[in-house]
Amino acid sequence: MVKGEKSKMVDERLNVLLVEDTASLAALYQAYLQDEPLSLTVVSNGQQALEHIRRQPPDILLLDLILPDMPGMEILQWLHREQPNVTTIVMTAHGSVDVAVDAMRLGAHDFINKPVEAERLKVTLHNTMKFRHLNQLVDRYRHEIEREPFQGFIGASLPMQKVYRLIENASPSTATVFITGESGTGKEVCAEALHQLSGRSEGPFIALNCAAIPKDLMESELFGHIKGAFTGALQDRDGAVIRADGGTLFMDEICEMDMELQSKLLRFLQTGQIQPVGSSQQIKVDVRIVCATNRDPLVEVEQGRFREDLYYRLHVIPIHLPPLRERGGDVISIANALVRQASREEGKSFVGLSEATKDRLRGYHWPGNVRQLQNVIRNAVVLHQGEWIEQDMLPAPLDNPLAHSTPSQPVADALPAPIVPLSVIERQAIERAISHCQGNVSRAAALLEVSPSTIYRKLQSWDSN
Amino acid sequence: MADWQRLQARLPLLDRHQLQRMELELGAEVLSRLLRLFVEDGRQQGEALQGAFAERDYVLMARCCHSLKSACGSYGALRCQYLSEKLEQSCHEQDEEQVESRMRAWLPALEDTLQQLETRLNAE
Repeated sequence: MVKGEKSKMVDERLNVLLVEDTASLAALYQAYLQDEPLSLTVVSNGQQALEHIRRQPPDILLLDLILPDMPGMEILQWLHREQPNVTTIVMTAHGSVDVAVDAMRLGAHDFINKPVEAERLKVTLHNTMKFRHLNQLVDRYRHEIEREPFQGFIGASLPMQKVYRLIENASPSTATVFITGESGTGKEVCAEALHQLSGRSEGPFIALNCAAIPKDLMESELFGHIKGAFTGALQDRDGAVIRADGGTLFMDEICEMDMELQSKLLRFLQTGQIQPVGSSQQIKVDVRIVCATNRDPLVEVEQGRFREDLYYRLHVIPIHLPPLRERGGDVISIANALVRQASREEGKSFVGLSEATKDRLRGYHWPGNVRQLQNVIRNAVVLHQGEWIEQDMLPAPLDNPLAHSTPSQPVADALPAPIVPLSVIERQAIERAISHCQGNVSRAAALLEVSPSTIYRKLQSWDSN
Repeated sequence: MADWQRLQARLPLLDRHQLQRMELELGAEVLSRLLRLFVEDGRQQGEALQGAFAERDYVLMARCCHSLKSACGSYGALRCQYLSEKLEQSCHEQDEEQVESRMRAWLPALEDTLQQLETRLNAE
């Protein structure tokens, strides 16, 4: 044994139970182990062993396979079932490989042939102690690392473990966090996690989607306005920054922000003060900024659509959320959680996914990421009955066996399609859904999340045209 | 003479090297205490084995031999260890003739071994 290992184990003082019916052998093993860092108890038959284990499960069991009252294998079976944390070393004079294999199959950790020499017994025990110690370490690290669910996230994949660690490390700080990732990867969930784990969690969390607010209203939405600042400003109104005072302001789709407003945002970030629209007063605020985009912010800077100085002001702690297709088994964990949730909410009895469905979900590229998965599962749960979500319950494009092997381009990277009138897109979508459902308008309506009467009305209007 | 008989006759009753090694590992005092316990165990197991032999209870005999085999091996009682193993095998095979002939060899081997140990212990 390497010097130092023994002293490390001294502190642990493991409980070892020896089951040996021959008194001179039990005494010999006790003598061999007298200087070892363990507390040894000896019993002489199987019944005593079971009683002792039930009362006080040992860390390690030294078990003779031939006992006066029962076969040691029975004890092994019982342990395997009832006390899997007890690490067993089998001692026997049988010496056959078959017996060793059987014992290992029943959960024995190691095997010693009798007669047992002192050194062999000690080395085996040391190895077992190390094995237990390493197992405990692995369990501890797994507990620390594999945080699932984590603040609204589901998934224990390695890329997500990195994200969780980043969130945990970044949350106590007031530094600005820049979240990137494709649509549907959970950027707002990430922002909320940062807020919840920060010292500001008692304060407000305000989310603002920069792409959803008209350009002209954005400044007012962000910084507020005073009465009469512009037509329709009938009274003073606090902006998102003021409302987030003492908390966190999450600005989604930050790259969609108008250049002029970007410079005002930069000024606020530099001074910590805002000036509501129409006001000459500067108001000091204490806000932690988290922003997000599904674009590549550096490309936006290079293309001149995003201010470089603002980029560097915001891009203090970057967090990139991986797309679902890069998260390995997370897709199944998330899908299972979604099935349970949707089933509960919709009053259905689904309990999970069939193996074939899992295969298809795993093989698909998920251009819409978790949001798309949510829709797929909700659709299947709403439109079907049963306990397991089967492949044929999946909506398009997952219902097509070929769909899963066709790599799709991520939404954020997709080339912009030619602009066509909305009415044309609407008609194409409805016709595609009806065709997909083999003319079943009700099913097509469910897939499109509209009522069948809406589709009939549309069909009539196209006919009359 | 069968192979096992020739081999057992060549085996020493006690492995002196093993006893020396045990003395180094455990100390003379502890070893003496353990050897006394082994002698006691050996006598008890020997009586149990003879009782089972009188009853022709081969299952119990095999169990006794199994225990003796381990104990003898652990204390360096080589000839007894070997004969216990052979006797256990015959009991499992329910070979009456072999059981009887091996029992005849085993009894004096055990007695001589325990005698030799007692002599050693008394000399201390």
